[in-house]
Amino acid sequence: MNIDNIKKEFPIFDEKIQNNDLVYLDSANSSQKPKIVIDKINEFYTKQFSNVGRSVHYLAVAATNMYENTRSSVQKYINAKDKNEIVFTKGATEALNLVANTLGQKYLEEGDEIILTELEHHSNYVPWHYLRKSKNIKINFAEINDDGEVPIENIEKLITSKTKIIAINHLSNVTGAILPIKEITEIAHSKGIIVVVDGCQGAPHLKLDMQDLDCDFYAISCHKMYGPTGLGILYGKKKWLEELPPYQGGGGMIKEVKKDRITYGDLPNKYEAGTMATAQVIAFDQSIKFLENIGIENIINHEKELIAYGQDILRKNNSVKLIGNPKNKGGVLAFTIEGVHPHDIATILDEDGVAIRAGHHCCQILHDKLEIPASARASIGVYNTKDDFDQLNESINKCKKIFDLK
Amino acid sequence: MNLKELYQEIILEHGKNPRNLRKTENFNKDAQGKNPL
Repeated sequence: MNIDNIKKEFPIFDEKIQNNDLVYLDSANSSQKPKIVIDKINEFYTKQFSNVGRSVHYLAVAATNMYENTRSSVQKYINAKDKNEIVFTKGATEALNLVANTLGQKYLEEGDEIILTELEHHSNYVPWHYLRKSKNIKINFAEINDDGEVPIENIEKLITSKTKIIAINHLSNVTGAILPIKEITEIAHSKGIIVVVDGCQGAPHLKLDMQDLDCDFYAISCHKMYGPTGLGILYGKKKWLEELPPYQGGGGMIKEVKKDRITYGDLPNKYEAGTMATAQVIAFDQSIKFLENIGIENIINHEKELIAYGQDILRKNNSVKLIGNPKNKGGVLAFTIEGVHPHDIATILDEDGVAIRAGHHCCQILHDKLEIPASARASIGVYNTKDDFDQLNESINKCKKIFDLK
Repeated sequence: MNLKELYQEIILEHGKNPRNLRKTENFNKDAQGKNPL
C-alpha cells in the first residue's frame, strides 16, 4: 500500500465539509476510518451478526471465532507473550480505570505512592485520584523541562520506598514528547515498581513491542488507531491479570454462580463482563490489517517528515508559538497565537475546512504549568500530507489578518 | 452577517475598546466559568 495515496482509502475525504475539502488535523483526538473497517462493520451487521461466547449456533460460533481472531491479531501486532494478555474494554479510559481500580483493591496500601507526570491526560490521572480518598495514597507528578519532555531523572528523584506504581503516557497529546518507556521500566522494575502506560497516542504512531518495553500494563484506544469507537484494549502481563480481582461483574466473566459463592472465569473472560463491543472488535481486525499493510516503519518515516515540515512552517510564522520542543517527537503540534484565543483560532480555521482541536486537551495540569488557559492543536494521521500543513498555515494567516496581527 | 463580519465588526471592536473594564466592587451575584474542552 502506497502511503502517498493513502487518503483515498478513507471515504470521508471524498466529502465536502461545508463546501471545503477536509483538512483533518485532529487525529490525536480521533482518527478517520478506512473503508475496509467501515465495510466490515456493515458486513458483520448485515450478514454475520450474532453475540459471541454464548450460543452454539452457526452464527454465534463464527462470530466468536472472528472476535477471538482480533485478539490474536492484536497479540501479534503488539508482540504480547500470550493471547490472554489482551483484554477488550470500552476504551483506553476504561482500561486505565480497570488497572487503577483493581490495583487499588488488591495491591496498594495506605500511604503508598504513585508517580505520574505533568503530561498525563486526565484519563491517566483521575482514576488514580480516586485512590487518594479510598486508599489514602499519595500522587507525585514528575515535572517537565522547558522542551515539554519528562527527563528520566525527574521521575527517578520522586521514587521512594513507598512508590508502588509509575503511570505514564507513551506520547504526549500536547507536546508530542515520546517517553523512554523501556528505560523507565528498567529503573522501575529494579525497585519492584509497576509500570502502567497510557498508550493512546503511542499505539497509532509507534512500533509496539510489549515484550521489549516490558511494562506491566499498556492501554490502547482503538478509535485513534483507525478503528471503531467504543473500543479499547488493555494489555496486562498475565501474572497481574491472574492475580488481580475482576473489575466489573456480570454475564460472561464467571465460572460458577451459586447463592452463597461465585467463582470467576479464566482470562480473558474474567475482565470482559457483559456483551462486549462485538462489531467493533471484529472490525478492528481490519484496522490492524490496514496498519500492517502500510508497515509501521513507513508510517513512522512519513509522520516524522510531515511533522518536521509542519514544525518548520509554523516556526517561520510570526506570532505562532509552538508548545514544547522535544527531541523525540510524535505527530502533535500544539500552539498558541499571541492575542487570539485558541477557540477563535479553531473556529476561524474551521471556515476553511481545517479541523483542529482547541482547549486543554484533557491536560489541565500541563496547561496550568505552562500558564495558558488553552492551546490550539494540529495532530496528524497516516493520511495527512504537506498540503494539509500549507493550508493550515494559510488559514492561520487569515486568522491573524482578522485579528490585525503581523 | 457571516462569521467573519461578526468577528471583525463586533467582537474585535469591543476587544480593542473594552467598555466598563474594571474590577467591580459592589455586586449581588457572581459566577465562575470553566472550560471543559
